[in-house]
Amino acid sequence: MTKITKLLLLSLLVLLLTTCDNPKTDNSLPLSTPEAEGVSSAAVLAFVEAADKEANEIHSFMLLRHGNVIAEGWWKPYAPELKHTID
Amino acid sequence: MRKQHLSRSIRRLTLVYYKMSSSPLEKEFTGKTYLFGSNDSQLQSLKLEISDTLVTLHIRKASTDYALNFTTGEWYYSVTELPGPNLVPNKNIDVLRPFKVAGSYTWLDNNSAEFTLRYIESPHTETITCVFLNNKVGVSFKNVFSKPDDIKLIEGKSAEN
Repeated sequence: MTKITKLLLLSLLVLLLTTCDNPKTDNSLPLSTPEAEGVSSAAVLAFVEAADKEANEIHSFMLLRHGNVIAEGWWKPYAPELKHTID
Repeated sequence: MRKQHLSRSIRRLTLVYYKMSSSPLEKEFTGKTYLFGSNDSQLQSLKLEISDTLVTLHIRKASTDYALNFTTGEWYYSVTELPGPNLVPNKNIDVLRPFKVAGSYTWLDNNSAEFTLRYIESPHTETITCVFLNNKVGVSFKNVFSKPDDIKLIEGKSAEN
């Protein structure tokens, strides 16, 4: 086995171990609060209440600001652990 | 304070389910098997069973038996092999089997019951209405794809006659 082959195999092993140490299993988005991202909780609450009263039917919503989830909710019987097809 | 109010409001979100209801005649309709002639919905038979607050609608459709569960005053969670309304190609819908559903029902009057079955891993809902009269029943199915002209009353007769 040449030095180059050994080096390549070692690099591959290191890469595999590194990947195994940091498995990308958590797909959760980062969480924050409305105020921390400059959004008023009262405004979010007004949206939720209006959606609940006036929208025909909403199953869930997720509100993001600066890449962070600042509010999310599911109308029962829909729930976060359920899949949800869109057609 | 507003943040707590927001959290509480979000936790309590729920789609409207039917309020508690009953019919003084419901015992007359339960346990009877109603048979149907040829129809577009391929509905062959229907039987209503009531146990406390749980109602099970046993239906035979396209030569397959299904038991659909409902309660009143809240959502009843269960699973069914009966595909709901959908636009998913047949080969892809199998990943959702058995279909997770939530059912709620109400008596519209002494003789009529409405059953709502939400397919909770999809945007779709099937509404089944049953009108019982003597030894007959009229059944209709309604969903988002139903045009008013498509909603037909399928008439069935008790098998005991």
